Amino acid sequence: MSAVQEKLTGLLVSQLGVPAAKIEPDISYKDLALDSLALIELTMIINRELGVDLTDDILQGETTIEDTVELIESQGVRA
Amino acid sequence: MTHPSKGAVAITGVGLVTAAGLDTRTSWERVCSGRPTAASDPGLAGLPVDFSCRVPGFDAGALLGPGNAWRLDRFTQLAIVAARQAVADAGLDPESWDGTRVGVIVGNSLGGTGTWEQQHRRFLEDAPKSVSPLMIPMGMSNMVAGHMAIDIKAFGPSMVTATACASGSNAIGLARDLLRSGTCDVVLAGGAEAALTPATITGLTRMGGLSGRRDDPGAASRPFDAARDGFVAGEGAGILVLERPEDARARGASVYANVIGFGSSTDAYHATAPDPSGAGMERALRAALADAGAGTDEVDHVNAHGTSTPLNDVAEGRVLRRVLGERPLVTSTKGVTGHALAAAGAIEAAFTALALRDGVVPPTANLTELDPEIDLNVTSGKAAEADLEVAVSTSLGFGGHNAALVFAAV
Repeated sequence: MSAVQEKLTGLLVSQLGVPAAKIEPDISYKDLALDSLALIELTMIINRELGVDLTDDILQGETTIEDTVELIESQGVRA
Repeated sequence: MTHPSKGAVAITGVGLVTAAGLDTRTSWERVCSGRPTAASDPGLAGLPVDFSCRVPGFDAGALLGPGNAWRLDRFTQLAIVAARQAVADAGLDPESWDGTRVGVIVGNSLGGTGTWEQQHRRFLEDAPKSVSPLMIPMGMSNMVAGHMAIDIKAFGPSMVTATACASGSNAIGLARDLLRSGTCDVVLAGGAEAALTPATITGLTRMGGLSGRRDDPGAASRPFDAARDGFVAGEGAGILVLERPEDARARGASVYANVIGFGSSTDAYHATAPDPSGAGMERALRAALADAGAGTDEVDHVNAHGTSTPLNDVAEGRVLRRVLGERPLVTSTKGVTGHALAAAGAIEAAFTALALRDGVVPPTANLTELDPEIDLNVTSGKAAEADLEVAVSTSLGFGGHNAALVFAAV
């Protein structure tokens, strides 16, 4: 697991109460039961904790954990 | 003996999350012990009033699941936990009931003050885009009813009554009407409040409503006592399951007590001060007794609003004496719990039902010298055992809202 994925997993568990066991690279936010408001909250948390600047609408229900890791890493962050 | 009133509704389940305890049994035992709960509050550190009656050790993540808890303001968390307790206590199962016949009426006054205050701070200190998209759905008052309905699969009417400190009592009164009219078969009714947040407590302090007894918080909530100087802000939730008595009987449910009367009125006198004549409160009380078909000489016990403010306790004391005489054993459980604002009426309705069930009147905590202007038979020191048939709970709120509920033993 990359450092970014590890950090993202930690945030999902600690901030949004997502069960750690459910978090796999290819699982989507829809399958993690996170709705559109929760995804904006998650975007804010990622921006604050990882120092990136993701836009509010970038995470969608179909977005997966590995998609998110790529988005974060594309902004030069390796956690 | 069951009071022969028409249109009574049965209390078949009780859920309480209060400063006195995280469930009904613990809360009731603490209230009957007369030991106050007011204490220094780290969440209010540095403020002119830095003590409160906070629900101790409430772990929302453990009780509601971490994935749910973060999306709910504390007042909603407290309400859902109390509602689950009440439904389980009533022996009902949301998985199998006809949810279209189940209603939810909850009193709340101030909404998610913790959410509003935190997000406003972010807005000012950081930037608009740091404000949570959940600020509105967490902060809105009505969401307590909406979330409760989701949690217990209630598809009937759901709404919030917002009549300040009379909210919980009015919720129970309206719920009673939904059962009487046949609109619902089961109604979850009560109140919830969690507003022990810095700006909100500062607002109450600036109004002069709160006790300033910082050196001895435990002695600060002292209803009817000559040395009282204001109320102690509390929080909590109280939810009752109400059903028509024949329905409760048919399914073999046990009943705490019946709600046999409800009266509601408005002072239309001043925004926050009670009408010193007590005319509005008297109208609510007399209307509730007439609704119950109960005589003024039949009331054995009153769980008074009794906030511990100089104005309230004298005005209320005069009305209770004028209408009910010296017969009832009067108590204010706010001496133990503090004033849980919109939840108070519901929590006290539960305590009144428990008093009828057990034949026990809890003592008014901290009452050592009755105010000479208050001519009531106030229970103090220790709980009184008595044969109780009919009891009243009164609630008054900012805005001049008055409500009274009459209960009968079963």
